[in-house]
Amino acid sequence: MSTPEPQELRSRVYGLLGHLLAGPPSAELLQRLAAVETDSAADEPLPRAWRGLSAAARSADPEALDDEYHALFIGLGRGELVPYASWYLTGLLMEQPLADLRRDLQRLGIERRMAVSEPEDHAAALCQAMALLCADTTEIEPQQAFVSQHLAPWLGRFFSDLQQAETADFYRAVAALGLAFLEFEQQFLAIDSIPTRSHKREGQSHEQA
Amino acid sequence: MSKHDQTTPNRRRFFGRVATVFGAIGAAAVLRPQSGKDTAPAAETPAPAEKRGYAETAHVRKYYDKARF
Repeated sequence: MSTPEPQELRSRVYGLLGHLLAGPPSAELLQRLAAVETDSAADEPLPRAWRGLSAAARSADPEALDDEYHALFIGLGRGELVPYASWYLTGLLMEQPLADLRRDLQRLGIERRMAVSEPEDHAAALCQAMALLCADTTEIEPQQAFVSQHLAPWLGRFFSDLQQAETADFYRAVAALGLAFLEFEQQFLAIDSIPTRSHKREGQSHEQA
Repeated sequence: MSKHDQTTPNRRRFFGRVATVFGAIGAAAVLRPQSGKDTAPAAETPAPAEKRGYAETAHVRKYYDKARF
């Protein structure tokens, strides 16, 4: 079997993050996360974060994880965190960042499934959109533009908040992986790149809340 | 591959530093959205109930479970 290409592996990491942010992991996924070890002992953020997630999966209880996910992202009224770009960038839900995202998703030919009621600027949906982008194209520019426009302005802050959330346990390890991967992605995408128009637009489109 | 591959040698070298980690994650997580251009759910899927402005979603069920004393 051939080794998967970098974009295929990056797509899988985005897919995993999207899956974990969309709902608590199943017992089967926890087993898989716990079972796969890396031979990399490197003390770099990404290997360290992966070892942390694998260890967290080994000690996780699926039922407790369901409660943890609910307390973090749903809650009674609202969860401890509000995982939407609009919230992070404007302090309100369904604001301009969502409109900008919808415009770009439409241009890329990506759309929300009919049955889904969550707005597209949910952290999980953004990761899943990037999973599709990485899987569908080896062209770097659309990926760079999407990351710089829709992930970089807020997703790191969201993962930092998740890492420090009072009700987080397993999800601290998810946040560590998210932070390490986001840092990797920004470096990976910046290599040999020419700034795109989307990079230049970034400051004009979204003001930090 | 029909499209021009822009994974440059420099990017491949950079990727190679942590390739084994990606391999491990990739092996555990074959979870990316399966069909072409379609974002997967950010959270839950409402039940295809009657159109009366209310659907008992998993969120709603969970809410009442949590609120039960």
